[in-house]
Amino acid sequence: MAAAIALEHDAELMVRVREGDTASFTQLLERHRTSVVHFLYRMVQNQAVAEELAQEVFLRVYKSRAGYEPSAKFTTWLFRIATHLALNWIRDNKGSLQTQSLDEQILEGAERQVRDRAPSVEQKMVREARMEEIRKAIRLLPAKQRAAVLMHKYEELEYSQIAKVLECSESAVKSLLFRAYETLRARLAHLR
Amino acid sequence: MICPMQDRENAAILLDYCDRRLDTDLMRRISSHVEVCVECQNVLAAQRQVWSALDAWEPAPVSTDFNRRLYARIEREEAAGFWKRLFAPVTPVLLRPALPVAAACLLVVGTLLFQTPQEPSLGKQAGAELVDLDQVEKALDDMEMLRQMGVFAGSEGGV
Repeated sequence: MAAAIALEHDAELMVRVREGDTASFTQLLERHRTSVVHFLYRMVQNQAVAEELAQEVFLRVYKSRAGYEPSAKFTTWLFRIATHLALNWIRDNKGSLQTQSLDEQILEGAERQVRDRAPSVEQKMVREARMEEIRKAIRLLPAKQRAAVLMHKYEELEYSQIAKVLECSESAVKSLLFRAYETLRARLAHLR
Repeated sequence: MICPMQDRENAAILLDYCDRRLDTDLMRRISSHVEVCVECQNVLAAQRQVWSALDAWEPAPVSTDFNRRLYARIEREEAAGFWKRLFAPVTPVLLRPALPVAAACLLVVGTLLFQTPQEPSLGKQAGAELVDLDQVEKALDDMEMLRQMGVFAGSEGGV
């Protein structure tokens, strides 16, 4: 029910954007900016690229406001654009995803240090090694499986939404997800 | 019930069970099955572990100037779009491949037009020559008329 209300609100905001209300666009941006950037970051594993792609996502949303029709959930449309851009970037940059920059890792480490209230050096190293295992396990998934897992796990999109984003059937999404998680279970088994 | 792990098509139902996305009746049926199925128990334990590991992966916060950069980009795009829209009606014409040919033809015609003014000057010369001939003829006629009037009588008489 809450999701339905949220959907209506997003669609309503987008209709207002279509009618020229830029303040509604700011609201949409505030509501979805973090989830879009985080989704893209987990897809491409590079913060600068993720933000650049997220800017492109919102730019496209704004530019296509005139033709917007609230026929599907706004988040489905939003993540469809984001996924499309991420898959294109991955296709065009094969290889650059294999190595995450040291700066990225340092940035993430610094973030965690604040949250963890100064853990020991050993704890930090163990945690960083564990995080790298998780990042690697995700980036080794085929791009479509990766997108499906990220939308399912972090964005909590329904199967029907993921199916629309990836342009396939719901049963194909379930199968895709099961295979992806099967791979992750095998790759992350040693972390138990 | 058939073990979800024996039916690959329905194996994803374990994910929904693990994530508590199923209705009460289905949750109860799968719970009864999991209690006696070691394979499903192992899959569920591994799956919970995967989700727990993924929960620990928190990306860095979004840059504070994200909105400012986006609005600047939108402004640039809108400005570019304005010029595009302005020239949109003539753009297809400008892009036609026949245009260079037409431009070349115009250039040739233009060159010819600029060269033709030399002809009128020749015409003027010819005109001038024509005027001179007329004058000569007129002068001869005048002389003939004067001779007939006897102006040149003396001279005639002399002859």
